[in-house]
Amino acid sequence: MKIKETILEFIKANLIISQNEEMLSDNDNIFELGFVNSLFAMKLLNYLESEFKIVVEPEDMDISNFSTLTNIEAFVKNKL
Amino acid sequence: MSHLSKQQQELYSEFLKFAKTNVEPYANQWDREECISRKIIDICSEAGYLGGTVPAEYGGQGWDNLTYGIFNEAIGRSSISLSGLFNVHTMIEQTILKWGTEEQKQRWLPFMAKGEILGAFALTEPEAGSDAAGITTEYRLDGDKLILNGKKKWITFGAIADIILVFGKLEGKPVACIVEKNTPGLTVTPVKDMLGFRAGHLAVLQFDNCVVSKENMIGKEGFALNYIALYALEFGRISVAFSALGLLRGCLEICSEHVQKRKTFDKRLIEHGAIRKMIADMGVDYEAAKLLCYNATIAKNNHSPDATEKVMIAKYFTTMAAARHSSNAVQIMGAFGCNESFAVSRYYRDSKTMEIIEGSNEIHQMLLGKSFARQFGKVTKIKDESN
Ligand SMILES: Cc1cc2nc3c(=O)[nH]c(=O)nc-3n(C[C@H](O)[C@H](O)[C@H](O)COP(=O)(O)OP(=O)(O)OC[C@H]3O[C@@H](n4cnc5c(N)ncnc54)[C@H](O)[C@@H]3O)c2cc1C
Repeated sequence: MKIKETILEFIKANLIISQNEEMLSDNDNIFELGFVNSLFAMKLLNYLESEFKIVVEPEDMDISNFSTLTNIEAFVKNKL
Repeated sequence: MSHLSKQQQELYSEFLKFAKTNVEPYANQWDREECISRKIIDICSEAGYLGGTVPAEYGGQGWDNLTYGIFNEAIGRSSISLSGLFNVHTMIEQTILKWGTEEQKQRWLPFMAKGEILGAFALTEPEAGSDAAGITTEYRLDGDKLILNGKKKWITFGAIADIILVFGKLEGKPVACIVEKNTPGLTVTPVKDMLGFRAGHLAVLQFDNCVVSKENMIGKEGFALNYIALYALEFGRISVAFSALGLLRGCLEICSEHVQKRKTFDKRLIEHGAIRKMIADMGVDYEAAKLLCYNATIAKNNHSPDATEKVMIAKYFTTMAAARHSSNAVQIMGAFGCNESFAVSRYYRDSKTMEIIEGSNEIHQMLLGKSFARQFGKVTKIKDESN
């Protein structure tokens, strides 16, 4: 599976609760949509590190890296 | 089958022996005096326990999460207050390890691992506990320095810590900085008369125009709550879950001995159905809690995405079980259980407190409730569609 699809699967499984929220598009800001609670932030971190065998470093702490599907994909690609 | 490797089993025996010799005989006294002695902290430092989870390159033991857990179980069995030291100290070490720069790691970790520098974690304020986003402690930029103002409360080992990770807001964005105890403008006032964790050196920390170097900021602005605090709290929850497991084991050991010796109405207590039920439930919950705790730390060792939930489940279940069964332990022991010279009365007080710290159990219900609904709701939906 491609990186973006893999991440989308994860977000759908862990973030989206009602059907009408499933229309997440690539550039929607998941933080601004208000989906994210504290549990998800930690899960996303663990997920990215374990799934793609990367380490999220202090300098990667930039909210835009994790805000949209497109940005998460770009961040992961950059790390690989 | 044991979930522990041979090395973990050996370490567990070492930890139990250590706690039996150095902790258990003094735990009631520390509790009465509301003070963990400096001597035991030095003994733990010498044994390398304050650097348990720190990698060898920074002078630590390089324990995995399950080993850290069983260490907390052994300590918690003897003194919950002492487990509080490892809890907060490890939270700071792990935060620096994950989010600190190499310079910050070199500056603090080798000294923390040796116990020469003790760490504390300061998030809660008099007006903001569960709702951490409501903190009002403020950092203000002044040239290349930060000026810190605010008040933190209930800070475990805050009264004797050398460095404190202090959460606040810089221009509205959450940040966390290491503040040294001798910083001018920092007033430390010990908190006394707690229900549990009485010997845990809790403190109120008042910061009045404290000057903090920008180099002490851990991670970047804006990430302190969702990433730094939560990352640290996960280690705190492991410590609380496992030390509650130790407390539960303590209840089981003390009560099991008592019910086989003590007689009423010509029968040993264990022959009475009501007592036997309490022991059965205690044992079953101990076994269940142990599996949840082990499972959570194994998931964390494997960097599994559901490790966060599993750690929360373990903390939630084990602290609730500990509170319930320590209450039953007092009941089983009768008047002995009501006396301060017996560990169960201390367990009873400590376990109640453990339902409040590291994210109260209601906050766990909020997050886990939603998470389970999402997880299992999906399954129902798929089934509905196939009908
Ligand atoms: C022994 C001890 C040691 C501690 N050590 C530290 C430390 O080292 N560092 C630190 O920063 N803090 C520490 N704390 C503080 C601790 O983290 C807080 O007490 C905890 O987060 C709860 O906050 P609170 O006490 O302000 O309660 P509140 O947040 O005021 O909550 C009060 C009650 O309401 C419930 N509640 C709150 N919101 C909701 C909701 N949305 N739905 C349902 N129920 C809700 C809570 O569960 C609780 O039962 C310590 C506390 C204790 C008792």
